[in-house]
Amino acid sequence: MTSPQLRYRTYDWRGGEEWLAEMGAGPTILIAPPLFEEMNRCRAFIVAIMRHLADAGFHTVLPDLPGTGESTRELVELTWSDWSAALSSFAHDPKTISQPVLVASFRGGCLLDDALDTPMRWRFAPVDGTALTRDLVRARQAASPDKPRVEAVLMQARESPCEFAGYILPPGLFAGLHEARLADVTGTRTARLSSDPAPADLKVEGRPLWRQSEPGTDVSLSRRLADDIARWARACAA
Amino acid sequence: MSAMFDTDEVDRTLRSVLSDVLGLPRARVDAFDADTELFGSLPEFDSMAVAGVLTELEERLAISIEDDEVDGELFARFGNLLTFARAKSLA
Repeated sequence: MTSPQLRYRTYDWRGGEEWLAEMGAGPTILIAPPLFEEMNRCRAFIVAIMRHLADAGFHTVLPDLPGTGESTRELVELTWSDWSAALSSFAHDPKTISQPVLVASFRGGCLLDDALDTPMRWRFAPVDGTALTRDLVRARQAASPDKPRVEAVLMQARESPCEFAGYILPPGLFAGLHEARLADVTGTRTARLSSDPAPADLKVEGRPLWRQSEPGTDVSLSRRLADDIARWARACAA
Repeated sequence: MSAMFDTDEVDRTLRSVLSDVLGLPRARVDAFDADTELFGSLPEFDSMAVAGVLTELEERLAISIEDDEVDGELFARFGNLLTFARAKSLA
């Protein structure tokens, strides 16, 4: 079997072009990616999962969120609800992809999956928005010699664009992320690392790749998760 | 909600957090004792890793760590961090 190829193309959103990566053929699984630096750290890992899913007979689509990746749009122009809107319009555009059978979301991407009208959802290491903004604030604190207080950083971020770990986030994006909570929707299967004590349908051994400064992948973790996504997608389609 | 942890679980959780965030082999972290020096001694333990360790501890121990609870001493030695994590999660 030849190795499945990653293909890149654009999708339209609000009069501009955004990029997506896709792989394989068959029923479509839409991937809601982690956010900001976590995406960079996890991209190779997610593409490894896509490769396994292509071998299992699925078409996977990984969009760049507007303002990230190859997007020409400025992040500072966007609000949190724009990301939900982009994923939703993208998933429902018949010119772009066939109706996805499943959305598989990772970390902060899980906060966006309720925007998608798919029958079923699969989540890996889902996290509330406050946990992500805490990370961003702590990264900013750690990078500041005067170590500003959390409240001061939060107040500043709500008033004007503020840089966090290399990303300049506008107030409408930061505040929306800060308040975002995981939607409690039926038909959601959750996987977590075994080191994470929060409840999950599946616990898997592995390291939190989104924490490690060198982007990496984990062969056994990506295979295990791809197998679980494929099983869940087949159960959803049945 | 913290009652689900006992002291051994807190110790194991702290070691797994350090291993995962710093990218250190688990065997090396398992050999840490109370006097093992961390921040300032381990090159992997930089200020970004401080943020990662705090957040992972919060998630895995279901605790909340306030800004004013964190200072340089906390990360100076493994024993300081373990005492802090136990106090937070077993309170």
